[in-house]
Amino acid sequence: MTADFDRAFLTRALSRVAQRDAAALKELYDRTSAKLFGVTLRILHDRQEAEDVLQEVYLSVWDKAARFDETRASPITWLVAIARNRAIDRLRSRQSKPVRAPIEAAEAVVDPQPLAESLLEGSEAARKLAGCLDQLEPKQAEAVRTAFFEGVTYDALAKAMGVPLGTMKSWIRRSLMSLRGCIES
Amino acid sequence: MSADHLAAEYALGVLDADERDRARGRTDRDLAFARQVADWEDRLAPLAAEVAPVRPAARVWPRIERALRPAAARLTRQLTIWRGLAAASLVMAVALAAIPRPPPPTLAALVASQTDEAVVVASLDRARGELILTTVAIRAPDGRSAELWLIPEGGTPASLGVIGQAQRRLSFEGRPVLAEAVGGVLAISLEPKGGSPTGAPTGPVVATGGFV
Repeated sequence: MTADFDRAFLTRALSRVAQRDAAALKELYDRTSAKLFGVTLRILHDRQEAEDVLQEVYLSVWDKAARFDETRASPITWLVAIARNRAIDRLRSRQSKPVRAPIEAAEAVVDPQPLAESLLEGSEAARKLAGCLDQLEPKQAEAVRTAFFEGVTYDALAKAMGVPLGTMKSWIRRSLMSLRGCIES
Repeated sequence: MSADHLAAEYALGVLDADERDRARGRTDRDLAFARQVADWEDRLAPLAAEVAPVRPAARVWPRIERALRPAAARLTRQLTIWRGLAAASLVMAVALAAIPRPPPPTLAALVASQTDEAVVVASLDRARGELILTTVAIRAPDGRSAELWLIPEGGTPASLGVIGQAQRRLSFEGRPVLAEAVGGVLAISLEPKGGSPTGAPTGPVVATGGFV
């Protein structure tokens, strides 16, 4: 399947979800839940919590599908943003959050859902973003990636990478602005 | 720091809990900022290509499906909203009671949903004893009707009927509850076609408003 077809498929499923079509939500779930679970699990490092958040994500999609605007966003990036926001909210609501080690390889039962994959991995946007990250200082690119994957605060990020908070803030801000310039060029 | 920096930091997820709450509050009030956040989310989301997909446990979908049904969980959520509205109407009544002069004879209320699928202006003419309802927009989903409710101070929701395109005049005589409209809250809920079968709201609340 081509990325265009996949995008159209997810967009169509979202518009049916907006019409309260539960079967459409299931189709969406079947094709995107492994990617979104990967995203929430990476942030929370706890299967139980990541499952709770995944449930919240699809209920939120059920409520908000009518607000998805296909002219402004791609369906998979819209879903990823909801999943990350929910997971980060859960992370922040914990009393304290040590930065934990990455998930054991054995824990990650990889289940490539070709549809979500073709929309992200194969996408022009993903290639371009990776290329733009490669143009940053390696440490700064690592900071952006860690922030995105782990959903941690500036403070935790600075501690994890052993740099002062102010340095981390300026790294991230400068990197984000460079990324935008690069993406839009 | 510029709004765009803040939008980028919020989208990336590096803000602490308080900063994050404040930024989210701003997305609710500031449309341009909300758009900047959405643009940053769209720029950064492709990084998820580098996250390995992980199959969630089989128990997750059935839990989602159960939560979709108009079952206990959902009912509780609706009841909580209606209780919240009753409390809000009480607060408004107290606030109005603190105003020393009598309110003017005509009061207006705007009841608008966030995405403009239902926008109604209600004008309360107490001298003539009527409520004039003007529909600005109405787009109920297929098979549903948007129903207008008045929740008097500390009271239960009373139906003011299904919202149509035409302007309607409701007399205080025909609807005694209207005499209690000041200090109350108007709400629009989505109901089965033709209106709530029970006489009480059963569907999601899409809009609320009070008289000012």
